[in-house]
Amino acid sequence: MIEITNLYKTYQSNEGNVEALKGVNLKVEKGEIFGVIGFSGAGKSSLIRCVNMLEKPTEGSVRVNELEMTKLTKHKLREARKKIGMIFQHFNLLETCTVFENIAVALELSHIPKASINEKVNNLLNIVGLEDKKNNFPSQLSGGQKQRVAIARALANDIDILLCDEATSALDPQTTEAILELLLDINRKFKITILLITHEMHVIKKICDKVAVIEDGVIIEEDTVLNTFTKPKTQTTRNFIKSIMEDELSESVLKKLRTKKENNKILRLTFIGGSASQPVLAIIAKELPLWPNILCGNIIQIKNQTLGRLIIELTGDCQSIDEGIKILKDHNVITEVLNYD
Amino acid sequence: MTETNLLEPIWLRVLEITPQLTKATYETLLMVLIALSIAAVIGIPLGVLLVITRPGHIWEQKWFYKIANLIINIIRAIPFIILMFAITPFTRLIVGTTIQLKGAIVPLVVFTAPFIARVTESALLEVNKGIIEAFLAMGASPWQIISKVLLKETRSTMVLGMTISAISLIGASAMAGVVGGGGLGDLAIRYGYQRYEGDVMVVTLAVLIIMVMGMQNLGNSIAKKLKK
Ligand SMILES: Nc1ncnc2c1ncn2[C@@H]1O[C@H](COP(=O)(O)OP(=O)(O)OP(=O)(O)O)[C@@H](O)[C@H]1O
Ligand SMILES: [Mg+2]
Repeated sequence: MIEITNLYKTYQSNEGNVEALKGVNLKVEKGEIFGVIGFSGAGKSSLIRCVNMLEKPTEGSVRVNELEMTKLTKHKLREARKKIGMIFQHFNLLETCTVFENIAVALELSHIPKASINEKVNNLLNIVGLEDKKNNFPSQLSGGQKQRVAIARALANDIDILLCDEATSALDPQTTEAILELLLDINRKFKITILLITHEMHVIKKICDKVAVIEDGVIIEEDTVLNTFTKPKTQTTRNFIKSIMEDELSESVLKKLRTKKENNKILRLTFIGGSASQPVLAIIAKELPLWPNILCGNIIQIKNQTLGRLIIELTGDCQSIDEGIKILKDHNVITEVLNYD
Repeated sequence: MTETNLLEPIWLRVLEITPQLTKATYETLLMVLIALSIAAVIGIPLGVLLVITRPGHIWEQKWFYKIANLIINIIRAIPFIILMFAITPFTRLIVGTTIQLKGAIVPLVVFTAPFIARVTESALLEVNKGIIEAFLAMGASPWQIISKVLLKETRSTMVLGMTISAISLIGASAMAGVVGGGGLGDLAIRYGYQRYEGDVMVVTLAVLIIMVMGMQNLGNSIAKKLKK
């Protein structure tokens, strides 16, 4: 478990001070995958680096498994860090060592006997699927393979927590998918808590349980991923969602709608999980004098939930439209009326 | 006179001085080896310190860094021939004499250790900061970072650096030879310069060239083996 309270980080440089974090509060529960998303310079790296004290907080408290990280002696900090793995955007492997040696070195740091190192490394290679590359050098690996080595190295000391600093940002979409699957796997199999930072909503959607949005050193929104997708509270969050789910109407469609004479309303419908399976649009069309017309639609997978989103035009008399909206809401469809005039 | 007649005296002379040549080669190698070993024992840790004590590194010690940096710059600025005479009191203090092998080793070490420190420093600075951070995050101690990251990642570059140090030592040892350390430099000067025996000088130089080439090749091939 990670508990960050009132965290401040100010960098001092010749050009003046930079306040990277301004009073961040965050709680990551055990076993959770928690994502922090933000634009470049928002303070994501500063935040995650304050968790294992790679960056010393200016003020505030960071507790990892009940241990106050800011007050540890050097020796105690090293012990604590052994249980907190970290992976990076640029992998950070030893270039002159083989895959095997790169993983083994993590165990050597903890003075594990040679015989058990061998067995352990082979096991880790198996987990990340790199048995056949054990004698290769990092320069002979693809980005995804390098990140797998880094993950194996991070896991070596039986960690409780894994910190991921933009771990997939240097990878192509397909490789990103595979690495995210691996992280999900690790989280489930070994009950490792994961705190990751990213600027890609896709990463959040795919593996996170909870998400916090950071902007200008402040957490501006925090909730479960599902709630964040269905009820975003800030424009920044809406923009992030828009990056993976188109839910605005194009100008040409809007133009056509404006010239229509019939009485209509534009609705944004969000279906979660079960409600996606009911033919609710057919129901309202059958029971009321209404003509639903689908203008735009999306279905996305949020971790293990399906989220469907439709923008429809509902044509009919005012009363029927209102009744139709009620039926939609009764069927657990999140219904918003959009104003496009 | 025929060609063979012209060449004959050179070869005869070379044969004549072979014992001295062998002895001088042995002395040079001995001087270089001893001075290099001692200088490495001082210079490599010093170079490591120059890296890890600089601002933002794993063992920041601002004043140590500044002072060590300054002293090294000063020593490095002094030409060896001057350094050798300038530190005679120090040499006498350490080994009790300023002549012979013992007397030559001290200035050679003083000359080479800062050089090796700089070679080490520049090699270690090439290590990506991200790798060091990854190891800090894994709970590595400063000592583990030095041995398992800094020196390990740069071992190939370090061998090349030591090769350069050894070769510069051959040059310096020639000058040290003049004050009684012996060696090839001493031989070349005594016969070639003072007695105008150009042929001895040429042979001595040939041995020096072979020595330098041999060391460079050896260094290169070890470095190549260590690189991955
Ligand atoms: N070592 C440093 N010294 C001075 N300023 C820094 C330092 N590290 C970060 N900053 C500043 O702090 C702010 C937050 O940086 P941070 O690296 O945490 O952002 P980020 O969200 O990770 O951005 P990115 O997505 O680009 O990695 C930025 O304005 C940055 O310039
Ligand atoms: Mg960053």
